[in-house]
Amino acid sequence: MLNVLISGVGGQGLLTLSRILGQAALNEGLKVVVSETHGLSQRGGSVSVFLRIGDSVMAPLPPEDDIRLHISMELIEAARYSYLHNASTVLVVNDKIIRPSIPGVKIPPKEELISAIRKTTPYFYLVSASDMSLKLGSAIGANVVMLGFVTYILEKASVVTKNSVMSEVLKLGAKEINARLFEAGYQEALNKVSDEAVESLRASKRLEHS
Amino acid sequence: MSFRSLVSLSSGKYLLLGNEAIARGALEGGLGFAAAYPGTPSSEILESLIAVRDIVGIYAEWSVNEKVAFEAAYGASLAGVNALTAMKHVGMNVAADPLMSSAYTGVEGALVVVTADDPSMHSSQNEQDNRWYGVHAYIPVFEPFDADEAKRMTKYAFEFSRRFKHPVILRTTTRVSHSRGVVELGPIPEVRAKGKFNKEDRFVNVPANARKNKIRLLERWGAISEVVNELPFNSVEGDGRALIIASGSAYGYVVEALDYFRVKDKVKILKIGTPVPIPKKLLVEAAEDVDKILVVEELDSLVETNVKSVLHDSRIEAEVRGKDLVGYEFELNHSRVRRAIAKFLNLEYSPPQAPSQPAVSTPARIPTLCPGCPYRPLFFELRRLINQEKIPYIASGDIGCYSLGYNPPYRMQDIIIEMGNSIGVGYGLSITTEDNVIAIIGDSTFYHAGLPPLVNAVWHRKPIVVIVLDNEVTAMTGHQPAPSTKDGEGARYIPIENVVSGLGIKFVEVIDPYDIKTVREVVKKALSYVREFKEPAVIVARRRCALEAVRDLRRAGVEIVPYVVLEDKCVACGICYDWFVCPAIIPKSNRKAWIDPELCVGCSACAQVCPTKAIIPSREYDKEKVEKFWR
Repeated sequence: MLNVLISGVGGQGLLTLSRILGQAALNEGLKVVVSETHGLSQRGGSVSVFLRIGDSVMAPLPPEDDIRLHISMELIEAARYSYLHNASTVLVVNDKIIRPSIPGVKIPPKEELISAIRKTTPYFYLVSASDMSLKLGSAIGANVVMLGFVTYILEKASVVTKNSVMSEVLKLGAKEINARLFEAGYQEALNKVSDEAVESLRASKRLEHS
Repeated sequence: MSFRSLVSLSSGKYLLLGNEAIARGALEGGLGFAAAYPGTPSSEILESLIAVRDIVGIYAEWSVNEKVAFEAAYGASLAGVNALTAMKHVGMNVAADPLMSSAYTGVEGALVVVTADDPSMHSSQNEQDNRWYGVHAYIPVFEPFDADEAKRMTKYAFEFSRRFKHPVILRTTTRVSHSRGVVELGPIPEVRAKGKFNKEDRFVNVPANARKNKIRLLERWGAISEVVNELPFNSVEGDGRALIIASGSAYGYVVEALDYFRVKDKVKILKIGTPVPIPKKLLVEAAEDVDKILVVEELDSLVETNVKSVLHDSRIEAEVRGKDLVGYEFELNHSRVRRAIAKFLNLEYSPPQAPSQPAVSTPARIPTLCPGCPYRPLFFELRRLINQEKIPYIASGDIGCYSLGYNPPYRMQDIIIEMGNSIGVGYGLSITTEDNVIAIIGDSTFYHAGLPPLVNAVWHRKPIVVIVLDNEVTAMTGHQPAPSTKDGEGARYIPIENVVSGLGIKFVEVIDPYDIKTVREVVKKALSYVREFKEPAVIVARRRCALEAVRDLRRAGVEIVPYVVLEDKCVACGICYDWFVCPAIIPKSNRKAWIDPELCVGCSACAQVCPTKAIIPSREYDKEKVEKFWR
């Protein structure tokens, strides 16, 4: 089974991202459970969504020691949930800090944050999804860029296909811009992601069928 | 695929949210009528039904509160129409009055009452275990463990309720309601949304009839207690000298834990889908030849207590473990269940190692008012007024987005326990303290539970300032309409100021919370009015929820122009990011403000709090055109 954590800040489009990945995995005939976060915590709070893929999945939440892929929309949240990383976790994180709305809150400098997170996982990918989205003309498209990036990894690991994810993305509307955002993320991954990272995800699937 | 687009299908596997699965199960079970008040984690059930009501021909509505919704569904059922009402766990407290008596009278069409409980209190004030309502009321409780079972069980609950002419409670929890899983669709039968009410004495619970009803209720309960042994949702799996009883949502965790320890072939599982009443025969059969039993259930020890009682009566002496290994509080997770099973079976288990936290501290991130939220400027100005004029006050709070006004720097919610408490509890405090009591309540909550305590305050002429934060929608739960919603699809808009004026309240002012100067003046005026005349004053602060306004702006293709900070004008005072605290405004390393274009929604509210007028739109735009969407 493959357990995926999607973290970020309420309002960053985590549910959209996780639903699309879940639907795309189902399109490949895989059993899928997506544990969402609704209500209060969606108001700018820390949000975690879990996507579980595989026939032996029965419970809504994954075991705390088996997160294979962590997709994070925000650096502080990536750090917060990095306690769920293990020796084979692949982390893909949006290069973005959202300041918690607390008066006088102390935020670690970005470089410090990044270097600390980097040490928690062997496969670390920093994606400028927010910047890319703004440059491509959307203030709300970082999640689609991230989706493009992880689609490359999950396609390589035979969990989803690019076409299938893309067709779900197009259902969101704003087709032209979303297609560009998605493709930009996908191309970024094509250039950056190592075979070892993909192998790490594949291993989790083999575990299942053994 | 959207829930709506699935209505025409009668087979196939689709990814549905647990709550959508319940809605689908209801449709497949012959639903004709549905009513609810929104509440996390239950809201998507009615949302889904409302989304398809025009296609399938059911009646579905958002009601003013859970009691009214329950009564409406009960009424529909008396006419022979299959009905559903859904609520969050604490909503059942509001509906408890008709719920208790509905079991006495019984029903005619099906009546399925969904309670969505919230273990771990993700979005709630407590984590009460509503299975007890079933025990309390003699109403069977069905409890699914995943989305697919939720659909099958809901459909079955309708048949069950019709067959016994008795209400059924379907209890889910956050992780079932808000988990998306693969659900197999079945056909939706022809909808019957109209019926006929046949007058019977059983529906009139005067004492003489109620006594007869109680006897009949116990007879039905006896029959129901037998039948639950045959239901497909209660089953025995595997074999062994150790028995694990897994109730509701615990089942998934138990099965995965047994996989993890590779002991599935050594353990017997009794899966329980009806914790109330417990399937006694099935339990006795399963327990007869085992040495020990572990009960795994979320929250209270309801099944465990019952198991012990049944075993005692049946003189079965197996050792029973449960809450001593699993624990009472919060939702289940793999570690908890694995640890309990390891102890129960004497297996080795070391929970995940101490987290490998990164060598950097992560600041807490509590939920916060959204960028553009109309409540922010109001809380900002209230705090400033109270600080500057040293006003002794109690801010009696309530349930809704404005509960977030509890957080610093506003600190304007001193009591939050339930819907409507702002006025009711504030009323008690207004009599017993010398402080200025300010009750802060939202529009939907006002109509839900704020009216009776306000009537009481007017009746008894007690000094309380009530601020109704009217964003014209039930915002926190996902923007369901309320009587305060203006474009309610044929529903009538009821302005709050009309209602409170009708009660005889003389001080009624409607203000725009973005206009902080007026906020200050009117609040001051209300405070002195209440002090002088010793009777309630009501301020309605009206502006649309920012999420709705922004959604409509985007849909209409109106460009949202973010605001920017003029670097040379900014004096780094911090008012905008430390006192106004919009998530979009961020201090730079030189403490000057910067506005994040990804987060700013161009609401303009921050511009007026800047003492040096350093916050301006990033470019000129048609303010009137945009403002329309916010009103």
